Amino acid sequence: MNRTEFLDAISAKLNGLSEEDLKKALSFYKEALDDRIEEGMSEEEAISDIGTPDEIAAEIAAEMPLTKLISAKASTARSLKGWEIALLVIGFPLWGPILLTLVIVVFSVYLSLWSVVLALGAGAVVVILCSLAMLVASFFLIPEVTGPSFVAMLGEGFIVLAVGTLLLIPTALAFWGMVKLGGVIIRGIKRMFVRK
Amino acid sequence: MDVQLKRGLLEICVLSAIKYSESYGYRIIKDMQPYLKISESTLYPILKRLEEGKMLTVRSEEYNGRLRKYYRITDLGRKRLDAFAQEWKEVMSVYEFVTREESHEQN
Repeated sequence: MNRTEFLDAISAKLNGLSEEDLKKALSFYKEALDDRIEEGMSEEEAISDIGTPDEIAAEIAAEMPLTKLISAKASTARSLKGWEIALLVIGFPLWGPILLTLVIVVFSVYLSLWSVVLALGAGAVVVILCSLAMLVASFFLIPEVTGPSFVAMLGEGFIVLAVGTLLLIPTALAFWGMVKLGGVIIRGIKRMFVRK
Repeated sequence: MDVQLKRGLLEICVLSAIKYSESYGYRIIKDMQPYLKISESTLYPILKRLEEGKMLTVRSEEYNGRLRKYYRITDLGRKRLDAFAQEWKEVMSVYEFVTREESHEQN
């Protein structure tokens, strides 16, 4: 590794730092290299004497407050230029409501999907309750009066119970699907802010 | 050595290395060498912290056609050294108590 590679490797590891902090750190390590080389070390000896870019980055990261570290991680490799920031501020009345609308649309679509799942679940529960009612009711039909219809009622009750139970399967599937979808949406939003 | 303890001691040693005259990074490292080994990657955040704490000031000066940063201790930095010396007097007396040999005279 030569001098340029060493300094490039350091700045690559410190890409979350502000431009000023990065400049300071680089000039510090340049000075460290020059002082060693003047003393008689070769470039390579000087570099290995100072330490690896990983060590250097780790020490600087350990020193940074957590909030700064997170914002450093969250920021893009290149910082916004002045006119870009100005444009963002001026454009806020335009993109602000659009962003808000987008968030609301995503949220309401997600909610309405949930309501479908809930309706399905409620339907299944109601069908099962009905079947139970039919089963119980069938015992109150007096065979002497109503003839064999109590048998029909009993059979229908069982059929309805089966239908209700079967309805639980798609409900459960839809439920887990929605939970997963929620996770995907949240992860998608996070990824918009944090880049590796 | 305990990490926290070493962290504190390194800070004190860096201040001590510049207490008589201003100095620069590589020389601070070499001056500390016999007592506490330190690398540039460790020194850099310490210098930054001491500067933020107003215990030292930094100035750049041209040397051999390039810039070198010189660190100078402030009054606050000296106070920190005095406080350390005071505190460790007590620690040393505890050390003597802890490592004392059995004395026959007291029997």
